[in-house]
Amino acid sequence: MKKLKLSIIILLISVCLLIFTGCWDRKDIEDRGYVLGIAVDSYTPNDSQAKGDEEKKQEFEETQTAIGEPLYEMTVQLPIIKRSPSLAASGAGSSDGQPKTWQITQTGNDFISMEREMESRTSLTLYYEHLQVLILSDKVLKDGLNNMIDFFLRHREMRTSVSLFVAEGSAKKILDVVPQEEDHSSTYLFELPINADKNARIAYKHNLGEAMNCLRSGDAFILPRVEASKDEIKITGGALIKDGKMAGWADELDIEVINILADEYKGGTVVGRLSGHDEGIIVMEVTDSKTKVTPIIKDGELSFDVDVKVKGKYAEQVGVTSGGRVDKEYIKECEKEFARTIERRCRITIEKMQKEYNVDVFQLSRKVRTQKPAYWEEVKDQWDEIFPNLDINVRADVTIQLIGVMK
Amino acid sequence: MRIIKKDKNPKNLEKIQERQSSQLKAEEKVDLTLSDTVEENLEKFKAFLEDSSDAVFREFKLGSQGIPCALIYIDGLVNNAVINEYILKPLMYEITLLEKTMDEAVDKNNAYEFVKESAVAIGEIKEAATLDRSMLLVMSGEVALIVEGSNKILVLNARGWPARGVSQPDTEGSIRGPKDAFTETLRVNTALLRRKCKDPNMVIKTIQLGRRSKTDVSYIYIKGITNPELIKEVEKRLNQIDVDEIMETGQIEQWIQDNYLSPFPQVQITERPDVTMSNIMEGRVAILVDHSPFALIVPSGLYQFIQSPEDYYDRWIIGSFLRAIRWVASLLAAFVPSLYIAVVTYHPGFLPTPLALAVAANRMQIPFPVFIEVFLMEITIELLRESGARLPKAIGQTIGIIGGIIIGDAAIRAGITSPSMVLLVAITAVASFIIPTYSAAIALRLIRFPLMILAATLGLYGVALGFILINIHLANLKSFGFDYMTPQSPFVPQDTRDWIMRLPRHLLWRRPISINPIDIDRMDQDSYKEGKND
Repeated sequence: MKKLKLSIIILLISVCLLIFTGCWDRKDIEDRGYVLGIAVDSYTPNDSQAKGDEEKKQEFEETQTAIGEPLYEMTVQLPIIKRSPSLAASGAGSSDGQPKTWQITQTGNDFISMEREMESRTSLTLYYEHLQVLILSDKVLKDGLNNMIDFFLRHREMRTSVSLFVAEGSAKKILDVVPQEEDHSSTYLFELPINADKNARIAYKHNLGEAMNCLRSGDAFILPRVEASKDEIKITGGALIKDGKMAGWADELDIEVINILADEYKGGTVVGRLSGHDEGIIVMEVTDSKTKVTPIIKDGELSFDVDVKVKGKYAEQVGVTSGGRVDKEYIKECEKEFARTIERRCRITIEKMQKEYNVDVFQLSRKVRTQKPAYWEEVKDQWDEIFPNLDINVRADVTIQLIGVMK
Repeated sequence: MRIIKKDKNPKNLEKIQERQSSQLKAEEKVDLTLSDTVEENLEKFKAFLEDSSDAVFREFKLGSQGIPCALIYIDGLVNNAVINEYILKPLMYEITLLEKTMDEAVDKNNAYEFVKESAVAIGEIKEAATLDRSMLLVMSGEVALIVEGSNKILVLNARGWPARGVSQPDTEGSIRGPKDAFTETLRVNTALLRRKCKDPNMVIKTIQLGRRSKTDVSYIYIKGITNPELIKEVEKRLNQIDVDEIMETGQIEQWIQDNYLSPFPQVQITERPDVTMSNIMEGRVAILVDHSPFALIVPSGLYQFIQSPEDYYDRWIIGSFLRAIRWVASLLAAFVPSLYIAVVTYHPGFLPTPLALAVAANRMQIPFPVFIEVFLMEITIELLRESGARLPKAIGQTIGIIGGIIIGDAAIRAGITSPSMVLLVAITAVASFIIPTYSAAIALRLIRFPLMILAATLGLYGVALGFILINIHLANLKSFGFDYMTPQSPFVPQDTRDWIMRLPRHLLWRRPISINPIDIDRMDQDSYKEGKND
């Protein structure tokens, strides 16, 4: 009896082993090519007179994957993994000056073919679970994000946490940056928005998952824009995406307001100017903020109340005539000035988005959809006409909690 | 389940002789009944012991009438001073003085009684009416005294053999708590236990196992705490044992365990009297074997192998912390290599990017796949451990240095293994040494090899499968009929107070009820008052 039981168990295990084989994705860690970043450009015919080796490379890159003119140019960044020098038997010197990343570019119409074409150029298997950033050029976005994003959403290995960035001109150039501190430009770029709690002008992270949500629901959203020099990348404003296409650029001040309305106002500074008997520039450092956006329907007219409650530190004063005066009255005055500044700034950007671009980048449509579903059913097709004329009242309430160290 | 032979455990020479009778010549056959002459009885002993150089036959004359007597003992097992001073001296010299004062000569008819009652100055004496009984006692180190005119033999306890003193435990060290450990002498061991508990209800029953070795095996329990069913079961299983020799508790363990196919120990082994005693107090039965410095404790559950006596001696927060660490360590010891294989070969997405790149960089230029690398290193560490255990202490340390530093470093430099691998193997090894019970640690070290194969073929899915299989097996396992995984499965909430955590002492007022002790309470719950001075 017992023997029978045992043999059944052994049989079961071996059957399981045969049926559920996992070996198909077995690959040792060093045999994978960790794609850290991908840049997507639209294809522009290269008419430069490349010679010799350059020409060969260009030939590789432009291998035809389908009939017709290629649409896109995909660049993947692979880290060049070397055995750390301290372990090498020869004890060779540091690898300074040698490139730490390898960018592979391929042109084509569909991304899967481009990816497979790349596999013919690398000994490693491309592996996307560590993909950190996806950089899209503005041309690609103007053609439509919806057109090309499918591969990245559908791919098994790509996480929804991949950060999306937009580059004006060539996206590939961003990957070519050799950063000062990090080893790879992708990780450098990925870590950049970490300072969003210090600087509110960095667009709060937009990753693949959120972009996918917005695309599906039809909401407008913003993707951070990056610019690069030889060894630096900077986040400068963002690209406005509406209906899956780029509608324009937002500058850094706009980003700050977008962050405030999205309740992602995590830090940064507010600069006010005192007038009257005290004069000079006062600066507040935001420590905490809470924004409440409430849709209000009055007499069939939609309007929005935006309540911004900001807590902060009195951080700096420049050229303030009254010197070190700190009393309740003064702080009250400063609070009012900061609130005025925030309200003024919000108004400027809101107007810009309403009148100039007509992009609901604050995702007010989402608020209406979730909070006033009946009203939304009526207006959802006319949102483009309604949004520019919306009444959006911003009320800021500033509390200064700390005044800093007074020596 | 086990096949039991009908003819089991012969307890006397007769049966052995019957077995051998075909080989024996007629004149060699010995009648096991005793006669009343010294000469004949001596002959019977000599039939067995004549060829043994350590057997001593001392014939002498007793008293004024010169009654023939003989002492038989095994040299080396007896205390010669005791024999000279308290047996031979009274019998050969003082008895004549006695005769004078009593004014009565000892003759053949009353010699035996007289010797027994008035002459020998020995505490423990026994009477043996048959040859096999007296022979067994002689072989255990007692002295047989044959007196003319009696068909009984007087057996005097003058045992004394070279024995190791009580020393510190070798395999179960502790920082706090008593430092004594069992020795090879059964009587010393039982004494160590008696000293810990003066309750006369503590029963030390001794039986002899082994057809030829006749090893004393004691099982110890407390009447009124231990479940009688359990005692019966222990007796039943012990009496089933029918072998030539019992050399160690390990042999007993293998006879009485429930499942011989399981890598997990189903009987707790300890060399600490305090551990043994506290287990007896919980309602378990301890089994001691002569010549073995280890005690077996039955029944035992999985959680006991993670416990150390210090858990109870230290304050409860410390005890609970240490115990939690050991649970973690036991999981690490079993699962770290397989998890590493699974993550590194199938799911590098699990690792943070810098770590993944670092591991990949470490593994660059290593010629073997991850599984082979892990397997090689794990085998190496097992080799080192085994050689360290076998070598004398002084050389053992050298092996540690060679293994730890030289082999580890050289293997990395030679490009056979990666630094992360060495770290991992070290973690596994250290974790497995944290587990207080050697047999349990070995079991965990063993199961990690099949787990590694599962991980290499099926990835994390395989590790999960392995984990489930191990749990099914453990939940199925029994120790003397009691569930191995209690209080976890079946869940016994009352016993969880002393499981992963060790709650404060005053909350542990109940003995583990999963082993069904008759007396459940071990303290007066109300006697604990915080702030005694109030």
